Amino acid sequence: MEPLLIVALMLLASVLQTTWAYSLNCCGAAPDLVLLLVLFLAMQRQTTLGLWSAFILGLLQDMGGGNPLGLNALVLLAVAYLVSRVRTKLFKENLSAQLVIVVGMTWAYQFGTFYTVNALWHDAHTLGQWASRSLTMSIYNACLGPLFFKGLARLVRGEDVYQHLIATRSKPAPNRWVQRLP
Amino acid sequence: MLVTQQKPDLVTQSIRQGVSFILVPVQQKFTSVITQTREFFNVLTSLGKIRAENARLRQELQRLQLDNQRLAGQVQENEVLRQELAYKKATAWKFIPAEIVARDPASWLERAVVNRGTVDGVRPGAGVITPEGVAGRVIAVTSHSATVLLLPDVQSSVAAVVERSRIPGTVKGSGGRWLAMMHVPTGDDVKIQDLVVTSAVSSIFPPGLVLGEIASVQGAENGLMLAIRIKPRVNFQTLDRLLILKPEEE
Repeated sequence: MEPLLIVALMLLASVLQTTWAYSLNCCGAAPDLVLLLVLFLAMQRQTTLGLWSAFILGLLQDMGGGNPLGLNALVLLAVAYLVSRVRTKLFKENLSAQLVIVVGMTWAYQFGTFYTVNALWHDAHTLGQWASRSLTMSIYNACLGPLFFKGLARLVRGEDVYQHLIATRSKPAPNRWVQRLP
Repeated sequence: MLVTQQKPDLVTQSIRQGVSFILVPVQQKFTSVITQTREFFNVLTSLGKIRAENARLRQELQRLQLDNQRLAGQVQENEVLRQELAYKKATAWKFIPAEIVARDPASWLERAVVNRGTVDGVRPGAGVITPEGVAGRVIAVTSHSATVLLLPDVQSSVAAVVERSRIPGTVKGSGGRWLAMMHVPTGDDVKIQDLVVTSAVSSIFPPGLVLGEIASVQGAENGLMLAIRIKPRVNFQTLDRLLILKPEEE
């Protein structure tokens, strides 16, 4: 059931990104639903699945948006790899950690596509354009990201992950001095 | 894979053809939902303005109809004069209406996918316009969809002239809100608010179509050419309907 759900989410994210996301454009920024889904899968799932999902989502985004085939696929693959390297060191349900990942990876993704486009089309855009676009998109993604992750976690795992974690964290730690007495 | 995209090949074209056959109808459904929702809220919030604009448009329609009748006579006279002078016959154009079904806001490339393809007569390289002016050109076509390279894209370039002084140049996209007019030597007669239109040299657009208005004129770093910034006539942020050009003899 979960694999089918993930495939459905991937298709939905790529279609929404190329259709509805443009209408949510505000001050030159728009949400990047595909990137958010890639980050979620890269953080929450094993590395292989995260990488494959990123590559396939990137291909779907390229084909759906009229981009050169492979542009987003390669960059999203790199982003998923970076996240997979740090995922075991993160407390993934922590809001600050999620925000740092979303903002950092938005800048990284924008730099990856900016660099690739400039390499192919000879310095097409300036660093100023990259900085301004990354700033606006990272703010937009940071506002959406935690809500997106929470909703996806509930949907994919089929349980209230956050309540479970809060319940386990609220139990008092065992008193080791009491236990050691004969 | 990316390098081979510079020249489309059979494999990638086949992949695009197959995927777009399934994807484009789905994208069209999603886009139509949001278009209808937007139009519904627009109608609710602007009923008063709609009435006033309706009255204004009716008057403009009457004026244009009168102009059209006057110009029809001039077209006939022009044709007779062309024949007398043995000029090559001016190409007539057909318009294929299309709707944008997909556009990726996260991409650095200004491209859009429309819901018309080879079955509707669209060919690669065809010009794309709107009633306001030039919008771009078709760069890839499948049977039921086409990818349009919009004017602000860095790969886009159109042969143009300044309407007032007939100074030729090339209008290129800069990846942002503005267009740039290149190859205009320093000292040429170019002013702010001059209209820039397509040149007769362009093979994909009829001459005289509006590209935009000159917003700033400065000397370039090398001192030989002018750095001209153009505000495009078409609003690419809200663009949703296009007209694809097709020469009538095809």
